[in-house]
Amino acid sequence: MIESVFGDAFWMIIKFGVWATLFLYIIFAGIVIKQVSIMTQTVKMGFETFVKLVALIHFIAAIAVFIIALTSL
Amino acid sequence: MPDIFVNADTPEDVGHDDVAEDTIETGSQEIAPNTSMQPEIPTQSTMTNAQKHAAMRDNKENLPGHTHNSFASYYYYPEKVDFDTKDPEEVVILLVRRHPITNVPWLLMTFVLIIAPAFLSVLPMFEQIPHNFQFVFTLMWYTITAAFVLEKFLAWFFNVNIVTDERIIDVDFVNLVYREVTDADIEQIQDVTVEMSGAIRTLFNYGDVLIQTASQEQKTKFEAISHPDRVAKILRELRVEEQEERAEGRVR
Repeated sequence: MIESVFGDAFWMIIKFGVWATLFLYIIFAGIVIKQVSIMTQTVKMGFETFVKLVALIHFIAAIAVFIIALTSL
Repeated sequence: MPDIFVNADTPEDVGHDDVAEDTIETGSQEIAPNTSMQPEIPTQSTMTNAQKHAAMRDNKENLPGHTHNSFASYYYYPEKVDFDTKDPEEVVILLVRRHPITNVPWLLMTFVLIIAPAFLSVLPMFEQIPHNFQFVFTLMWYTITAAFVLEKFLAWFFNVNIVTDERIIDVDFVNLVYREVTDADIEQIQDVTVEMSGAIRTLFNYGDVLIQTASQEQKTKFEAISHPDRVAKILRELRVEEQEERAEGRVR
């Protein structure tokens, strides 16, 4: 088993790595919201609400995955 | 391909077949249909091009290439299109974006990303990973896949080229933090080149339109757009209109 080779320290490092990655992902999702906002300000095509909603759902999903990772790892 | 994104009616189709035997009534005047890119409207010699385009915009339902589909890659006299530097009197004549077929590579990649965990899970290596890590890794995988899809869709949807009665605008969102908006006046256009190379582009009728302007060495490029010939024709008609307007001293 991988655990037997690397021990608990290995999974501890992986765990922190996952948390760090998901935290960075939340920042990325926030940037996507900002990007969508800039895009919809630059060009309006009558589809702004839906695109903003999708970006918001993506941001909420990123937070949800981070919380799941915090609680389950 | 069932082309739900590209408008099916070509000006030729509409002009010769569908509308040829009809007449369009506007108020008390009867207007004979025409076969050019822009339908005939009641014009007066004193009418500016902006007024002409505004009248055509009001009559947009009868225009070939006009659609209510927000995902259209070729959108003639679009209804709801607006942009941050638009003048109040400016009329948006055309909005084009990359042909939908250009999305196929990333859609295939998305399919691979979606089914990949199912194949990875049968590997002996995956079984040695603790179950809670397996669950979180799978979640992370699909979240990143969602981000990939979102980014690709946004890049396709918002990278547009707009033609108004006064200028052309090229909106490029290169990445998350870099955007480039280029505009050039219609009267500055010196040369319009249509490039359509390769079997796929010929089959699906899309290509590049390169626009050389007088003021700058750099060309504006409408990349992989639907109906490049139609776009070039519209640009030519607008250039002629601008020249006429300038000659008659009706420049806005």
